[in-house]
Amino acid sequence: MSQGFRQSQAGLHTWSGLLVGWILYLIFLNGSVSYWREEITRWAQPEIGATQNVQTVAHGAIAHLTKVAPSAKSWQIELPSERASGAITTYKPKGKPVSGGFRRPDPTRTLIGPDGQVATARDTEGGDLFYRLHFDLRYMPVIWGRWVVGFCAMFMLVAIVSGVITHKKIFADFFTFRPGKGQRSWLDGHNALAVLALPFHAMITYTGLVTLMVIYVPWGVTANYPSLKAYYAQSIPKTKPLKATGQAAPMADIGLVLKSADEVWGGGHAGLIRIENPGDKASRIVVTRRASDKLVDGRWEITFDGATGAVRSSVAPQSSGMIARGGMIGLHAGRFAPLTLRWLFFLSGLAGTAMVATGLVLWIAKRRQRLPDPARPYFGFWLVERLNIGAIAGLPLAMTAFLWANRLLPVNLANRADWEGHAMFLTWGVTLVHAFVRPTRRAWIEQLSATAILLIALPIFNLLATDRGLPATLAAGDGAVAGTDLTLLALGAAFAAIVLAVVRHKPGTDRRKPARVATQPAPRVELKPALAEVEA
Amino acid sequence: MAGQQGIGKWRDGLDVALRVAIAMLGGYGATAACTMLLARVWPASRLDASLWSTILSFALYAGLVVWTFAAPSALRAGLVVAAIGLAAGLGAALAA
Repeated sequence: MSQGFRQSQAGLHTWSGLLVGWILYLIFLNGSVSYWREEITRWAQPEIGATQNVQTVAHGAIAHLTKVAPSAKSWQIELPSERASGAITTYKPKGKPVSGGFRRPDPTRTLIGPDGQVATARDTEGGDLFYRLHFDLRYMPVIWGRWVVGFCAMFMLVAIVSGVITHKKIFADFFTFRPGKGQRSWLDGHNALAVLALPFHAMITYTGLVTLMVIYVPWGVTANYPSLKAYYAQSIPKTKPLKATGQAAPMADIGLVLKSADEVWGGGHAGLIRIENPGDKASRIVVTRRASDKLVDGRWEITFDGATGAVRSSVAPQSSGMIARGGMIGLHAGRFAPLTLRWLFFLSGLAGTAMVATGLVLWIAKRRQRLPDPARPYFGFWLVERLNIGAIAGLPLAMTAFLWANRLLPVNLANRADWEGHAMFLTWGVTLVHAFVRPTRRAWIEQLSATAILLIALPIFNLLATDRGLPATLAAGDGAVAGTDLTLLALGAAFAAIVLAVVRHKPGTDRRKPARVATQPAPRVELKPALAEVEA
Repeated sequence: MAGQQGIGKWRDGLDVALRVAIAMLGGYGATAACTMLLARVWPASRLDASLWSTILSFALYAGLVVWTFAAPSALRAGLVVAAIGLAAGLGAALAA
C-alpha cells in the first residue's frame, strides 16, 4: 500500500467521522440499548409481571376481543415472547378503517396481563423509545429520520474501510495501549475499541444499511419492477380479504391452533395472531412466527381455517435473495439471540459507541496541542469541543432522565408516554446549553457525575418507592427487571469511575495519569510521533 | 512565497471539495447505475436479482468513495466515476 493512499484515507476517515460522529454516537448507543428493548419495557411497566403461560394470555385476549368487538372485521393479538410481558390486542371495526397514525396509539389497543385479564399499566414507550430513536430519530417525519440515519451509516461504512486502510499495523495496534499519554492514549483506545469489535462493527453497519436498503437504493428494484408497489406485492404478497358469509360459527380453540403452529414450525412459536371475520363461518386465523426463535427475518406465516382450525397454507422465506436479506436483518436486530449472545451484542455495541466517542475526543486532543492560545481556541475547535460534551456526556444523562420520567410522572397525566420522551429531549437541550456555558473540564465532570448519580439512584428508588426493588425481583427470579436494575447500577459505577479519572487527572500531567479530558495542552514533545503514526 | 502558498491552499481546498462532491453524488449515481445493471443481468428470478444487487450496492458505493479519495487527482476520479456510471447505465438500458 502506498503512503499516499494511506494518507488520503486518514483524511477521509477524520473528516467523515467528524461530520456524522455525534449522530452516529446516538445511533450506536440507542441501538445497543435496544438489545434490551423488551426488558426495558418490562422495567418501565412495573404494574405487570412476567408471563408464565402464553396459552392463558392468548385465551384471555380472545375472551376480551369477543366481549368488546364481536363483529369486528379483524382482530390482532401480539403475544409476548419469553422476554416480554402480557399481550396487546387491537381490532379493526367493519367499514372505514380508523387510522391511528404511525406513532399515535391505536384507540382499540388493550393490554392483556399475564393472568389473561385486561391489565392497566402506565402509559410508556419503554424500550421502544430507544429502538425507534435508533433508526427513526424523533420530532421529524420518519422518512427523514431514516434518510439521516442511512446517510450516517454509509459514512460509518466508509469510516470503517478507510480506518482499516489507515492502520499500518492493525494487529499490533490491537495489543497497544499507552495510558496517560494524552492524544496517544486516545488513539490507542480508539484503535483497541475499533479493532476489538471490528467484525461486529462491519457487520452491524452493513446489515443496518440492508435493513432499510430499498429506501436508500431503490434502483435494483426499479430496474426490474414497474413500481416499488409491484415489488412489495411480490416480496410480501397480500392475501385477498375473505368475504364474510354472515353465518355465525364458533371459532376454533386458539390453544389448539397455537399447538399445531408449533408443530408446523418444528418447535417454533407464534408471535402474532390475526383473525379475519371472527365468529363468522368464513373466517381465517393467520399466525406469524415469533422473531426470537429464528434468524431469518421475513414472512413466516401459517393460515388456519377459523372455524375448523385446519391448516390451510404456510409460507416462509424461500428464495436466496429473501433469505440473504432476512438473515442480515435478523443478525442486525439480534432478536434470535439467547442471553449470552445478547450480552455480547450489547457489549460490542457499547464498544462501538465508545469507539465513536473516543474518535470525537481524539479530534480535539490532536488539535489542542497545535492551538496557539489554548484559552482562546478558534471557532471550529470550540464548537466541536462543546458539542462533544453535550453529545457524549449529555445523551446518556438525557436517556437516564427518560427512565426517571417513567418513574416520576403522574400515572394519569395526559399524553404521558409523549412527556417521558419530551423529558429526555428537554434534558438533552439543557446539557447542550450547559456544555457551552461552563468551563469544559467542569462541564464534563458535572454532566458525567449527574449521570452516575441518577443511574445509581434508580434501583434505590425502585427499592424504596415500589414493590419491585432488587431483593424482590431477584427473589422472584424476574431476570428482566432485576437485570435492568443491576445493569443500571453497573453503568452508574462505570460513569462514576470515569468521573473519578477525570477529577484525578491534572491537566498537563499526561505522562502519569490515565483518562485525559483536559482543558489544557499536553506537552508538545508528544505531538510529532503520535501524529506521524496516524498520518504516515 | 506567501502568495504561492495561498494559491496552493486554495487549490487543495478545491480538490477536496471536488472529491467530496464526486464521492457523494457521482458515487451514488454510479452505484445506482451499476445496481440497475446487476439487477438486470443477475442470473436469478427478478426478485432475487433485485435483492442481491441492492445488498451489494453498499459495498460498491463504499469502494467508489474510498477510491475517489485515493485517486491521483480529482479530475481523474471524476472521469473514472463518470465512465463507470455511464457504462453501467448504458449496459442497464441495453439489458432492459
